[in-house]
Amino acid sequence: MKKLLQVQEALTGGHRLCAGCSESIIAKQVVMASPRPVVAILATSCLEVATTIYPYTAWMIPLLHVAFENVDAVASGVEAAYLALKKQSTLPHNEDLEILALGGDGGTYDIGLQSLSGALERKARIRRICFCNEGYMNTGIQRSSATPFGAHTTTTPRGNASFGKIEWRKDLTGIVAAHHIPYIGQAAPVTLKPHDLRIKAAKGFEADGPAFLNVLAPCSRGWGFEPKDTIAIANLAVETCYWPLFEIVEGKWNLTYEPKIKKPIRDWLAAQKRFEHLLTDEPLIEYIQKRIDEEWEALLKKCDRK
Amino acid sequence: MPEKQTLEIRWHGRGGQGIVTAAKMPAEVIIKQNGHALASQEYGPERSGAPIKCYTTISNTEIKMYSQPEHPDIVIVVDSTLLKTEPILEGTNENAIIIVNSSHEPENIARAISGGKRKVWTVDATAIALQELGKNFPNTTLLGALIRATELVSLENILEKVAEGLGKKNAALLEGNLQAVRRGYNEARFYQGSEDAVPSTPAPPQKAWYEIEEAGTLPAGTAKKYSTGDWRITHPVLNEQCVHCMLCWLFCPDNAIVVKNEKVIGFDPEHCKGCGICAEVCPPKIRAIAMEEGGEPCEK
Repeated sequence: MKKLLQVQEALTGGHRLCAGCSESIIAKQVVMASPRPVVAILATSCLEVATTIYPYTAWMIPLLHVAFENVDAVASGVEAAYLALKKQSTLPHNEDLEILALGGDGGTYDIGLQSLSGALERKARIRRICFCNEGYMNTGIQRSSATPFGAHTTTTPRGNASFGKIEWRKDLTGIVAAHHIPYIGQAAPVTLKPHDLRIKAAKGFEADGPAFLNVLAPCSRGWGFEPKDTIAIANLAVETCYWPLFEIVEGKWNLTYEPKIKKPIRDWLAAQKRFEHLLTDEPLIEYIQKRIDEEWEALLKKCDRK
Repeated sequence: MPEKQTLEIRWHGRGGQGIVTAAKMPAEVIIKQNGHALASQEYGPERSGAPIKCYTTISNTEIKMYSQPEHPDIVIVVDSTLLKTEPILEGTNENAIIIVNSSHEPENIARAISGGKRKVWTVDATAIALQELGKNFPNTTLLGALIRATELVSLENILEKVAEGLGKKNAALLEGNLQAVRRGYNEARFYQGSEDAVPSTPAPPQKAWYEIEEAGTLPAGTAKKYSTGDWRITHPVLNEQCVHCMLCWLFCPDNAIVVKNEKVIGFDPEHCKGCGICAEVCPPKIRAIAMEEGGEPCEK
């Protein structure tokens, strides 16, 4: 920890993310883990909009802002340009760089999926972080394919006719796994294992080829909890096995945290206003619990725990 | 045909303070009384804490103007920190009424924004909201102050509207909200403005979008110069139990934990938003950080 204090922090204060936002915490911990200078490519997202309000920028590292749909294409282009310049020896400093691509779940699960898949297939040496806040929070809390079953959003409203989102969330980490890249991690900013996210990012930076991290990014405004509880909510996601922490290193699945006692999914639902309406619906909660259990069992199997 | 009379109100607030709701309420009362009214909002990406503007237009004839009012008769400032950063007086003339959520006397606010020339009402809406609701929702208190300043509609009518609008959504807070409206009405203070006052030169207007350079690079970390400390309504206090484990530093979203010689020595009052994550991640056996009420500068 003491060594970390020497590292230049990637993001300064004075950015305009909501009080208690998890995204700056994640960005800071990820960049901190890099052994080399980092160039960041940032898709449109809360993080982008709130940290780069002209004429201010909260970033201490070079940053390129691009659209939702092309962050990985641009990141691969930056990597190719960097390699070409290096070959020509026209760079002012001949040091190695890390190309970090960042996007929200909108820019990763939905709009950016094709460019992500393309870059992973081409084995571009980029490090890709997904800030999964489970919705389009920046534009006013609309549903995305990462939004969980039953959640209330402005486009999947609860009411007499509906209980919120009716589809199960997409398994993006699984989709990325199918690209067989060297390093994949699923993480969250948790105090259960405070260095898990940073250690995974560090492993990603050492990967020979693309690395991908899917990070749960609790959103107080969109999920409905007090800003101070951001980390507690992330802990709860892990303890209920809603968001298990694991990694896939060269195809080998490895669980990085196993809760001693698996908490019931009701605890996770009850902590957030977006699920408030589900609490009186026992059959729905049972259904969610059953699917979470199935996903957890399947994960244990992949990780050779059973 | 009666003479056309229109009253335009501009609300300045921050996302999450309930000003959209507040701007709608007088409009709804007027419409119910067969008058003409319009409420609209203007905001960028949704973010609690970001400055937003809302408008209420009231008229005795049909309103055909759907764009934002450019010359408001009344400006309501829901968050006094916006006095420093937003062009509050933009488009107003000297007869405009400025209503500010502030614990200061209206004369002091008038001095600060106009050298003492303007007509200003103040009401300590944040304190009233914290007392009546336990939460910083100053909107209903300011609604009370607006009614007092303008007599647009009667206090009874607005109380009915608040009961109808908030009753369904949040019954638990209803009584507190009604009390907040009444207290806003009763506790608002007025300053007439002095004709002799010499207004201080207003700050130059911000660059319009078409005046900004087309592309370019910015120096790193300029956001450090931007203060987000005024978003705070609670502040962290450090005690001697701290073992300098640095968890608060690792999890602070705003880089506001000040560390010197590997020791936590305090908080950055310019950037701490008072979210309280530091107090939550501090190990339970140690509990070296407590959040206390009030947005005063964090202890250094």
